Amino acid sequence: MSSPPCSPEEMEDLLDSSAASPESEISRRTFVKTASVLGAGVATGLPRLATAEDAHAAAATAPHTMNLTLKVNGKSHSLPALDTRTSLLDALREHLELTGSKKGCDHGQCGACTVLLDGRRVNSCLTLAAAADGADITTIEGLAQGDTLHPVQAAFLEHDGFQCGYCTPGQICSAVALLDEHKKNTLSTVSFETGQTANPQLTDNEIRERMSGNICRCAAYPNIVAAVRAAARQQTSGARA
Amino acid sequence: MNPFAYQRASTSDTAIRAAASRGAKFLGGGTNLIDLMKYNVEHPTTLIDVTHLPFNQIHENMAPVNGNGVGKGPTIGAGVRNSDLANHPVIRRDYPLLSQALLSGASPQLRNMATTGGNLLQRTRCYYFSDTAFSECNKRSPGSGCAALKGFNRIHAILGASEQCIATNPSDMNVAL
Repeated sequence: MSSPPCSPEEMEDLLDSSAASPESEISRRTFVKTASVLGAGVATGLPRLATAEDAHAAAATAPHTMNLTLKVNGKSHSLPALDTRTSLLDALREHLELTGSKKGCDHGQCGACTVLLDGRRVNSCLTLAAAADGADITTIEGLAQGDTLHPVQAAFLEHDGFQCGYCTPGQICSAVALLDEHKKNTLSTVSFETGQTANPQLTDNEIRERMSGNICRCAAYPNIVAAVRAAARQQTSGARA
Repeated sequence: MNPFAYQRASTSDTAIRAAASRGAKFLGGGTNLIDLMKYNVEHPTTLIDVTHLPFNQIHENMAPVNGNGVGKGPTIGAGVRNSDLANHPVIRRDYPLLSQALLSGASPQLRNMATTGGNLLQRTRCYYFSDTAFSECNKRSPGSGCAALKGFNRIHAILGASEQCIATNPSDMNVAL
């Protein structure tokens, strides 16, 4: 099948590199969507002589669709006739216009797409949207209460836990889950290395290991660790109060 | 990625029946399968989501099924996620090697997704298998040969290899088990 010279993702990355005002942000998204639709039309709209072989090939390449309902940040969204191949990340970004979750590697290695599924952190790029039907999904957009930031968001701001910010939504969602996991007394490989297998303290090494599913190309790691450390302390002192 | 039908199995019987059709595969956490589908290494025509089957429990000290007197041990459901297995109190107390092996692999996000059954059944990490630019791979395309034999193969098998394939099983969990 012919493909456009530049995929929508590539085009989006190119466009992302220029500073965008809120207005041009909207037109950029609209443009990318329009370009995708036009591209698909060109790819599938060519007149051809129908043969049995063609019909067979068409059946093998015809998308399967499903009607899904995704519950994101407490709100249910209907997604009619969604291609079953759609990842949860693409459903959030391209269909629900929740573009906070980012596409980095699209292979579960970088963590930019991290969201909470039933309260647990997962890579939304390797989660099928169809498989997430029925789950409670929380994205970076759902962490703040109105204008009041989530304590982890506030800590990232306070400690300057980012440079370009692309990995930040994933880092923050991951850190929110980290604090919850630690509260439930879970272990990491560092807990074994340090012999703290009963009630591990959230040391900097523990934070680094537990945040290792999130990569930061700007290497803002020292400030990310500081932000998570501060949020953990706040959580502990908040619990005591 | 090729198109596929998605089915969510509600009983093991329906899952097994659905799996009998050509091109059908079970979907657990998807951390390995979806990844390979994106690389066009795997191309199932139907995915049967088995994560809603009641196999997400760890049962302590089950009597051995065959009753041959082998010691009792926990039974781990195939759908138990890697992070839950690693942090189960019995596994932490009695099988710390398994817990440690699980926690030394992947990332917290992937361990929350990956299942025990999927970990056992994951495909090799041989880069000639996952890179379709190499036409030779007996695992991907039986009879095509093995590019790893004369390629970069210092991560490949020393024991148990053959002239057809020198790929290894990548699971840390399996070694501990």
